[in-house]
Amino acid sequence: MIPYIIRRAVATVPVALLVTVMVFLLLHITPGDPVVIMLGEEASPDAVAALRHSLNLDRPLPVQYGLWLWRAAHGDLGASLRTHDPVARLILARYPTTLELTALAMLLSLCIALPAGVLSAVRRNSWLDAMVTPLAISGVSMPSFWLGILLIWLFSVTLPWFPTVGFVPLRSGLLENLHTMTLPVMTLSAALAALVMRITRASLLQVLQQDYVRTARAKGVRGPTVVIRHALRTALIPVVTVLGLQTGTLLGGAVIVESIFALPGAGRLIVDAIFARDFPVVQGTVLALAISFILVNLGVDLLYARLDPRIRYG
Amino acid sequence: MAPLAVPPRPRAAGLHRRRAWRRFWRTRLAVPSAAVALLAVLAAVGAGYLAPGNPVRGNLSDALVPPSAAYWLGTDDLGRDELTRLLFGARVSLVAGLISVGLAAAVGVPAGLVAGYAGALVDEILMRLVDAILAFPALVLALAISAALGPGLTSSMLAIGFVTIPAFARLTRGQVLAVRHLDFVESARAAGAAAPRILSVHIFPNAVSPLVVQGSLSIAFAILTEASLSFLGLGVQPPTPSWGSMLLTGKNYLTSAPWLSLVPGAAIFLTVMSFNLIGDAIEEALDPHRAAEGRPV
Repeated sequence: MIPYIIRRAVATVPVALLVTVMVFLLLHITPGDPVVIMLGEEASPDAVAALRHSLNLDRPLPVQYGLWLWRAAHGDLGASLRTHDPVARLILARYPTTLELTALAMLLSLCIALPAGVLSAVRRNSWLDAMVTPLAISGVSMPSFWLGILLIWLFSVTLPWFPTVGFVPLRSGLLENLHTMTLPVMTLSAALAALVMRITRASLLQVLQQDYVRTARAKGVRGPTVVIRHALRTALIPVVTVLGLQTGTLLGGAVIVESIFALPGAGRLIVDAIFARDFPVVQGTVLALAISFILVNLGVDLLYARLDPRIRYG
Repeated sequence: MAPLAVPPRPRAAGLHRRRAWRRFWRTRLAVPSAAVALLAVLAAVGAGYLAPGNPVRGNLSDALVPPSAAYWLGTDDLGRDELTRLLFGARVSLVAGLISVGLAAAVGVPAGLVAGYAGALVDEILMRLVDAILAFPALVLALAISAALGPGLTSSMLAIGFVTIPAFARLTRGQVLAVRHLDFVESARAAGAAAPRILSVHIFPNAVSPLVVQGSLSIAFAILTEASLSFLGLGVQPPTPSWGSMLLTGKNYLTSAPWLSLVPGAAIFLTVMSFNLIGDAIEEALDPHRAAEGRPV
C-alpha cells in the first residue's frame, strides 16, 4: 500500500504545480492593466506604482511566478487590497463554514441516496424504482440557486421554521448552528443525492448479476445478507469515485449556496472579493479550493485502493 | 487489407442511423424532452416576434403586477413584462450553451485526437493540462476566469468553454485509444495514409456518437453554469435579460412577487433537464446493449 500511496502523491505534484500556474495567470489574463483595474481609474500614478511593486508586477513573468509560488508555499498569499488582512488568515477564518457545509451536504446525500439507490436496485421495476428515476433526473437538473430560493419561500417565508439568511457558528451552539445550516445543506445536497442514487442503483444492478453473488444465493445466503455483505462493498467503488469527483461540484455549489443564505464561507469570500476587485483574495481562495479538491481526490484514490486491492497492484 | 481500411458502407451506416433514430424516439421521455428543447429554441429564435413587450424598457407604474390577462407572467420591479424577458432570456441561455460547448469541442476534440494518437510525451503533456483544469471545482474556475476577463456574456462563454474542454478531450482520447490499433486503422497506416487523414477519416467517425451524447450533456451544464454566473452578477449584465439575473431580481421580491423567482427558475430547470434527458436518450439509442444491462436511470 505504501508504494501505491507514494506513487499517487508524486503524480499529484505536477498537477498541483500546473494549478498554481493557472491561478497565478488569472491576474494576467485580465484585459488592461490589472493594477488600474484593482485600484480604479481615479487612482494616483504613485499608488498604481506602489501596488505594482508590492505585487511584483514590475518584474519578469517567470520571476513573478517564482516569488508568488515561494510565498504561497510558505503560507503567504499576500494581503487583501480592501482590508489589508493577510489572505491566508481570511481564508482560514472562512474555511470552516465551507467545510461544514460541504461535509454535511455529503453526509445528507449519502443518508438519502444510498438506501434509496439500494432499494431501487433490489426492487427493480417496482413503484419505488419508478420514483427514483424522475427524482434522480430532477435533482441533477435542478439549479441549486432556484432550489435554495424555493426552500426559503417554503420553509422560511410560508412556514417560518428556519431563518431566511444568517449563520450561527458551531462554537455558539450545535443546535443553533444546525438550525441555520439546514436549508443550505438541503440545497447543496440535492444534486449529489440524485447522482449517488443513480450510480448506486446502476452499480448494484451490475454487481447483483455477477457469478459470486449468484453463488452466494445458490448456497442459501438470504437476500439482505447477499446485498449488504457481498454485493454492496463492490458496488460502492464507483460511488466512492463519484463522491471524490463531486467534491468539486460541492465546493462550487457552496459559492452559490453561501451567497443565497449569506453564510460567511470561502465561496462568499471569492464573490465579495471579485466585486471589490480584490485579486489577491480571489487568487488565494481559488488556490485553496483547488488544492483541497486535489487532496480530496488523492484521499479518494487511496480509499479506492483499500476497497479494491487490484488497483494497488495494477 | 484494403477493404479493411474502408469505413462502414454507406447503406449499412444509414441503416444503423435509422435504427438508432427509431430507438431514440422510442426512449422514455425522449419526446417530451425534445419538445421542451424545441420550445426553448423557438423562444430564443422567435423572441423578437413572439414577445409582447420590450425586454429592457418597462412602465414603473406597472411594477410587480401579478400574472394577468395583460401580463401573462406578471411584471418585474421595473414594470417590464416577465414573459418578454423570459423569451429573450432563452436566447442568452441557448447562445451561451451552444457557443461555449462549441468552443470546448473545437479545442478538446483535436487535443484528444492528437493525445490519443501521438501517445508518449504529447499525450502526457496534454493530459496533465487537462488534469490541471479538472483539479479546479468547475464553477469556481469559471467564476475566476469570468472575474478576470470582466463580467459579461462573452467572458462567461469563454470561461464555461474552458472548463468544459476536459470532458471532450478525455472522451475523444479514450475513443482514439480504443480503435488506434484495430485492423482498419493499421491497414490505413500500412497503405500510407498520413496521420491527419487517419485521424479525420478513420478514427474520428468512431468518436462521433459519444461526442454527440457529451455535447447534449455539456449544453445542459453550460446553461446551468451561465445561469449561475448571471445569478451571482458575473454573467450577462443588466438590463439584458438572462434567466439567472431574472432569478437574482426575483429573490429580492420573494414575498411580494414570487412569480419572479418561479418563472425563470422553472425555465432553467426544464431546459437543463430536457438536454440531460436528450443526452441520455441518444446514449440509449446508440448503445442499446448497455441500456439493457442496467445503465444509470
